[in-house]
Amino acid sequence: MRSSKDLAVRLRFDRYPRLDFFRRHYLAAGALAMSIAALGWGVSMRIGGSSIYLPGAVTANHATFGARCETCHDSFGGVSNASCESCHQPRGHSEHVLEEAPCGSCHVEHRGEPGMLAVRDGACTRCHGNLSSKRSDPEIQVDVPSFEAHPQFAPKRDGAVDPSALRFNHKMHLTSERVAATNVEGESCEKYAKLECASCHRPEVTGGRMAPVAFDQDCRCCHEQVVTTDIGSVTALHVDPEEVRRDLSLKILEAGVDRSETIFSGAESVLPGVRGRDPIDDSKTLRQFREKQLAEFEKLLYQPLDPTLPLFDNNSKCFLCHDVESAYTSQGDLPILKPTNVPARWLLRGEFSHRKHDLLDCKECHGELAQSASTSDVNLPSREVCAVCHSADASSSAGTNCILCHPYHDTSKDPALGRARHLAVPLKALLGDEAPQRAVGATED
Amino acid sequence: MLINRDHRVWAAASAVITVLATISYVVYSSTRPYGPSGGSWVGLGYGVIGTAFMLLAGLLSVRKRFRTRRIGSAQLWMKAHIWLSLLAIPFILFHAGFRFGGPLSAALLVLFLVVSVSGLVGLAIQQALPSVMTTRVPLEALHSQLEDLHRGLAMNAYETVASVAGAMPEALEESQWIEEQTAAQALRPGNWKRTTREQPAASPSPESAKLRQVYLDHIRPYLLRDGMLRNGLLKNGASRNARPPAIAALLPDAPADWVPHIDGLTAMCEESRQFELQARLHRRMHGWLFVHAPLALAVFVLAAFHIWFALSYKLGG
Repeated sequence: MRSSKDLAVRLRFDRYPRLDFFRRHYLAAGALAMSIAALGWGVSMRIGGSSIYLPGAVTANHATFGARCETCHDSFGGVSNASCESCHQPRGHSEHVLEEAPCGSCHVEHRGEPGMLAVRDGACTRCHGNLSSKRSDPEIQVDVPSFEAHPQFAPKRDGAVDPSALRFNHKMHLTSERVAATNVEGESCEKYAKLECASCHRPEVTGGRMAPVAFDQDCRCCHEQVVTTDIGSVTALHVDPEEVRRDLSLKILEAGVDRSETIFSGAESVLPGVRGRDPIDDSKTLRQFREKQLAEFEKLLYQPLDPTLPLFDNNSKCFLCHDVESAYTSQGDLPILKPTNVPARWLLRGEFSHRKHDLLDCKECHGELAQSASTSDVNLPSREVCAVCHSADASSSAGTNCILCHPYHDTSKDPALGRARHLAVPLKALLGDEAPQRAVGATED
Repeated sequence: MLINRDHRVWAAASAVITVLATISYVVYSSTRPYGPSGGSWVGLGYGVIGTAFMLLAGLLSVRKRFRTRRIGSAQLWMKAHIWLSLLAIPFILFHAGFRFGGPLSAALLVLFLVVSVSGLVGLAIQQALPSVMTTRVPLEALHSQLEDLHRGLAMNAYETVASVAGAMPEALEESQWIEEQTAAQALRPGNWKRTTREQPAASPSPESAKLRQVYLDHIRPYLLRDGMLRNGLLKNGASRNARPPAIAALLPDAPADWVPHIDGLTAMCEESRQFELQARLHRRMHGWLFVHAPLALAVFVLAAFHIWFALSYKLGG
């Protein structure tokens, strides 16, 4: 076996030991790798410019900027809202937001498609998942981490009732057939012969909400307010009592002038033994006539509902539907009607589009409506009804994203959208006979 | 063994930091609606820490340029290199959010992962091969001296056989090396150790022709196999299949006074085999550095471009 002495004899100490291959070429290899890296960077910059720095694909709408990062990014300053608003219309933020958020906190770029409008729930739930940590006295549910945990819609919670002071019975309307082929004026109401939801409810033209139901458009044909006295029949306007009184006064005077002989003069009988007709009204002046007849008409118009009469025989009475705060008096004091108080919008914090649910039959969501006989019934679908399609785990889910119902931006403050909403659309041209009579966007009350 | 009980503190500290960083990343990523981003402040923090670890780990190569300076022991620097490099991996991945991103960041991340993986492979090799070296190369010598040691073996073998069988003109290289060594010794100061070699037998016995033949046919080709000595030590991979000659079997009727010579020649062939094995193991132990170190430098170059540009446009965004 080799001894240390044998080994020592063979070792050479008269020259510096030769380095191994790695040590001999370490610096050269390192310099080469660094040069290749720098060269690769230079060539890439030459070919693709700043695009090599893009952390991910930009959305199609921003692809036109190419690699001009400075279009959106401020040098050493990130992306400011001003950068976005240099092209995009500034959008008002939700009235409930605590602080102005950077656009980029919800609309994230460099993630490719589906794009920056696909706001994820996390953008909402980072506050609303535990709202009490952000605000000491939240007015709304403090923890909504997902749609599964979403509270029941406010109008459907226990004890909530329809606050309307306008009697309406959905069950009666939906189950009656041939309610009125013609009205008292002989006008055809054929289209109302079998009432359906769409007979009275239709979505707004510019949005998905249902347009308010209006008497002239949706009720009048069957519930014409025709009041009849000795001097004839008068159709009352569906307006407030003061206006009704003015209108009736005019119509009474008109009748007094046009048919004065019939009203104020008697008629001799041409047949022997038969008594002639007395004058219909023995007033000496038109003023007397008007006041006397007005009292007659108003007495009929404002008399209490008679439940013993057939429904349509109560048509002339305002109180078929309306409630009163102070009644009509024989001294001629007009009644004060209770405000109808029909909610113009039920879901105050959420949006719903009937148009997007066109494929569904109304009863799919409003299934209890046909049995609703009370005005106080809230005939809105519950959260559970929505969850049938908007389920988190079903493969065919219609989605549960917060922004499906809760658009963050307050578009009512958006000048462009605001104009669009109140645009004078020629509805008659669009909808024909179904065009609503009242201005689009106007509220019922 | 590279990693031993002395690394306990470093290992424990690294494990704690990794666990804390992982917890913070899980919390951070779960609160980000769009997932983690290297451009967020937290993401930037991971990037800064990870880059700092990389830079500190990379200082090992700088430290090696100044071996004689008293700036921490080599072991301390190696521990720092290993554990800070390992720590850099999760921090950089957290910074990237486990995404490759655009072309530059993708190239940077790929290079970083290659450097990391090559480092881990190297760590595993450095952990396992030294014990293999100890077991399989008991005659291990200084790697930088292997070429000279092997040349010495060839000269010793020639000297041993020539002392019995006389000078051999066929062994031209060995004769020249001995002359060079003798000449070099003459130039050394007088207090240097001098090697005194046996002279070739002036009148070799007729039986010695057998020994001479075995040397020329088997021993010498093995010691000078595949031009190993002429072209640098063991560059030719084909030589690893060569086996040391069974000298005793080739000389079954050798005289008794040849036994020490035969044993010596057998030991020289065995030592040559071990040198070859040592060189091969050495190449394995350090070859990965040829991928690891240069690419690490390339990572630093690209990281500089990445950092400058990212900070220019992402800061605050």
